[in-house]
Amino acid sequence: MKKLALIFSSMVSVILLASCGTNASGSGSAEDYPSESITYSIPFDPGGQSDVEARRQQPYLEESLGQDILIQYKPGGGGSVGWSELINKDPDGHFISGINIPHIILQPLANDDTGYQTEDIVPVAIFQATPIGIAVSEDSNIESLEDLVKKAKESPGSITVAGSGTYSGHHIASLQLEHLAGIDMQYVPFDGAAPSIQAFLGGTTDVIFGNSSDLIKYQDDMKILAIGSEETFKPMPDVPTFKELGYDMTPAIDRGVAVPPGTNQEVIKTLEKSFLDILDEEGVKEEMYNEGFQPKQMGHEESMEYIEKKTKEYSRIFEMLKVTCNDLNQSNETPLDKIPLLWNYQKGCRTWRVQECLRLYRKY
Amino acid sequence: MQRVNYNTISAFILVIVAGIAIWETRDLSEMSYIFPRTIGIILLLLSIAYLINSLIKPKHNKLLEGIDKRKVAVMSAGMISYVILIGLVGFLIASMMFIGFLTWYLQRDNQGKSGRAKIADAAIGSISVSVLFFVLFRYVFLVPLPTGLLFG
Amino acid sequence: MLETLPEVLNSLTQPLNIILLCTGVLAGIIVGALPGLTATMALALLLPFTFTMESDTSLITMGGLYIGGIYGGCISAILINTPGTPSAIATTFDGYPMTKKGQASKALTAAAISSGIGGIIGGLALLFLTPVLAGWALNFGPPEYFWVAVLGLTMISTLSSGSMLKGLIGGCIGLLLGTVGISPVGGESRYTFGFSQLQSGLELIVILIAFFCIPEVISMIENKVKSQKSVRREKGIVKTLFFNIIKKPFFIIRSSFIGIITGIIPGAGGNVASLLSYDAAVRFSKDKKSFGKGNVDGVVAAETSNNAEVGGSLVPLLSLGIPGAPPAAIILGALMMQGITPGPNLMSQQSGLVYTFLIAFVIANVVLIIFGLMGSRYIGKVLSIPVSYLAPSIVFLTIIGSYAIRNNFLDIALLIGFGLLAYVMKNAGFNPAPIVLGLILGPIAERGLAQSMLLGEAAGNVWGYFFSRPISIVLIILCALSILLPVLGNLFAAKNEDSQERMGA
Repeated sequence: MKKLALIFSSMVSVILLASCGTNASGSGSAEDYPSESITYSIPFDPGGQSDVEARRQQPYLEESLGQDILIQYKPGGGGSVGWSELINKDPDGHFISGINIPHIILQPLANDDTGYQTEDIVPVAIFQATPIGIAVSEDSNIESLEDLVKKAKESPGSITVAGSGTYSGHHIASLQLEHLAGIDMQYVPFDGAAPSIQAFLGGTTDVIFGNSSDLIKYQDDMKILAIGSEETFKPMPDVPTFKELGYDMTPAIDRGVAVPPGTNQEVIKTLEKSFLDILDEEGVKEEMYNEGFQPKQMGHEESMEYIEKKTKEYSRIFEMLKVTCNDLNQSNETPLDKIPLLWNYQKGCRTWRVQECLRLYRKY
Repeated sequence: MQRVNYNTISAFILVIVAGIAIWETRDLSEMSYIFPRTIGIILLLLSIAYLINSLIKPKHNKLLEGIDKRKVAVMSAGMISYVILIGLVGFLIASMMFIGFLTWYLQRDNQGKSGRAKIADAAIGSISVSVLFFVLFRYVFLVPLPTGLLFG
Repeated sequence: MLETLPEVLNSLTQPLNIILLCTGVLAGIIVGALPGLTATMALALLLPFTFTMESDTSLITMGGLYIGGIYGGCISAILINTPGTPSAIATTFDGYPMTKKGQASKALTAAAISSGIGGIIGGLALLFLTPVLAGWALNFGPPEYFWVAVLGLTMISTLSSGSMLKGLIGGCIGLLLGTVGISPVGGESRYTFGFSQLQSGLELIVILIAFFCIPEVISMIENKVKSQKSVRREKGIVKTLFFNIIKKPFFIIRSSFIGIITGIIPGAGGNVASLLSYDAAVRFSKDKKSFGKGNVDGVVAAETSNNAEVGGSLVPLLSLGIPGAPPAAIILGALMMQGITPGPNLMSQQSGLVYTFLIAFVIANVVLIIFGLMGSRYIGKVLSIPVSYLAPSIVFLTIIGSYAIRNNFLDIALLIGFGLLAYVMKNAGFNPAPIVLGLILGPIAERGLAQSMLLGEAAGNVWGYFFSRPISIVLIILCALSILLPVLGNLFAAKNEDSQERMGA
């Protein structure tokens, strides 16, 4: 019995010591940050673009911050599950999360139980982007974006478009193109990039909206018609941008990292420097270009402004669609502007009223 | 006292569940409601069939017949308090308390052991199991196990 | 293939690769056996360590871990009715009843042998048929997903022991549980009741554990289950079982085939494969009544196909760069870290590496059989632990496992809540299997339905889109047969009491 008691007490003391150890180093001040390992949360499945980037950064961060970086996956709800966790974490800089734009802007607009607001997320840096491109199959008779628009005008609503997710960057890109070109296509959301590529390669849809890093892998099987970068995209020198073709849109997914609201400025500065310095390391930018990524180097302030700018831009897109529909629909007794427009648009594509309204719009 | 057939009660609950499921889809767009609403309607019809069936052919056997209700109740209450305890005192301590208590409770009928031996058994069992797996999950599989409101 | 042989041999004879292959398989088995820890998670944990490895070594280790992880799930499925990974779901149907009869060791042995054989067949298919199968996978569009899910749902008739009406109700409840969260096509959140964590839906493993394990643990303490029954050791069991299994080549090939095909289809994983294969085993069996009561064929069917599925799920990855299952996605990530971008050209550009991986894959399955057989001798001893220790420890393990999946406290509460509900429902005659079936297939069916409606509308003919595609027609015929055959069989063989009971009420 004594032996057992001894084992028992030694076990208890070990646990107590261990828990004391973690308590003591717990919420350290900003000066000795980082005082413990940092959890880097990825709100998507492992193996995706955000994960690839985080894994690339991991060794550099561990070196510059002098602490272990633990990568955790929190997939679900297109990222919203991970971000609602982020904003409720202690703002001591030991929990950081990858963020994607426009996801963090669009989700709170689309559903009211998302669990976070765009303003709650404090960006530290934006380091990478994938412009969204549009492509058709290699053996399609469509050769350019003009051909596609022409074909879509001939038979409205019959061209099918694959993309990943609803209220996602791809979805908005599709809506934007439809609006700017005055066409009507059928957007079909898939459960992520891999299923949408599979559907497109299998001929289920005619057109695909995809991230540059995915499109570049399959460039032999498809014709990329346009890309959403501001200027010619380095890894795809022959592909025109939407802007060059006369459509004023730059759809892209930007990736960065964020901390919970209320985080100390010093902590943000430390993290910001570590993340941005990685891009200056030898070979990193090259590697990113080769994988089809656009390196970006935006700090805390710049990212804040960027997100603000993008939020306005997306709200304006909604507003614009809303106005065109409402103007033409004035005679109707139930105004549509009571419900957020994107919602309406989605619904509308399948109900008489807005369908009719879009047809009217096209006529004028 | 006339006992109501448990089949009738469960059918009734199912009708309500189906009703809620259908009602909750009222504000959704067609692409979001088409599937759950269809299933909800099928469930409603099946539940009504079940309700009618239970009224026509009532079987008067009681739910949970021939079961040691006390043990089941203790086990259920134990599991519920375990969840609450994790929220309060963190994972490790809650687990020790839960395993320890249940091990002790389930040994009550065992006449071969003295009261002290049972407590010692339960304590050693609970601490070794919870510490072993805590360490395995926390430090090997890097799962950030919940710490609770009161400690850490 | 032959010109890469020296490279392949050189790589596979390196001691480090051999050791890591075995370690990978063993670690996978352990992780798989613990409920809540999945092959996906183990691979994600291993990922950082592979950065410093050579690309062949990293692939070999990951392949071993993946294979071991899928097999490991059957251990807890057989011993405590808890699928360690969702793939082991169908293994519980007959594996646990075998344990109750004191045949845990036999069930484990059968699972090890059939897993290995299924894995090897899957590996060979991967080795020789990848280009053919990849093309086929692309023809699988949304309507086909919908019909596969419907085909799976016809299994309710096989799985609902007792009342068919209750089975159907259970199936509908499962389908509704599967719609919790953001709708796959509409993008709106449903049935979350204000919990933002529920936006990603109910976690499958948590619900599996809640419906299968918790009611069993409660039954265990009130002594309905004599799990203390000593595990009988039968001499020569391995040999007998092995010959029993290979004596039925059609059975094994059918199960493997279902596994491979399901694996190729992205989005349908080992859980669907093992369920479909189990269903086929029951339907083709002459002794239908013995299933669900501890028929070793049920275990063999489920385990063969879920391990064959592993090979299948790597087909789209290697040929197209599309991961067919979440673990395959991590292997893709690992390849990218090595500077290899999997895409349509992987096979031609990296043929040495690909063939090394494929052959290692087959070898890993042999290693799996050896470990599985060695383990099945001893691992059944877990059951000789007295219930007073075992029951609380199982609850503890399921809680830690449910939390580990996505570090979500709500999942723990859901586990216990649904677990208690499942106990009551089980006593009221609602079998958990149809509910879980609905939960697994619901999202596949819904996505297929909604996407097909959009595509059909664009094509101008929604009904035509559902009913005119060739693979769809095959699947529709299978669905019809699956529903009608038992009914017809009943009419023609009215004397047969067995089938009457199966179809009855």
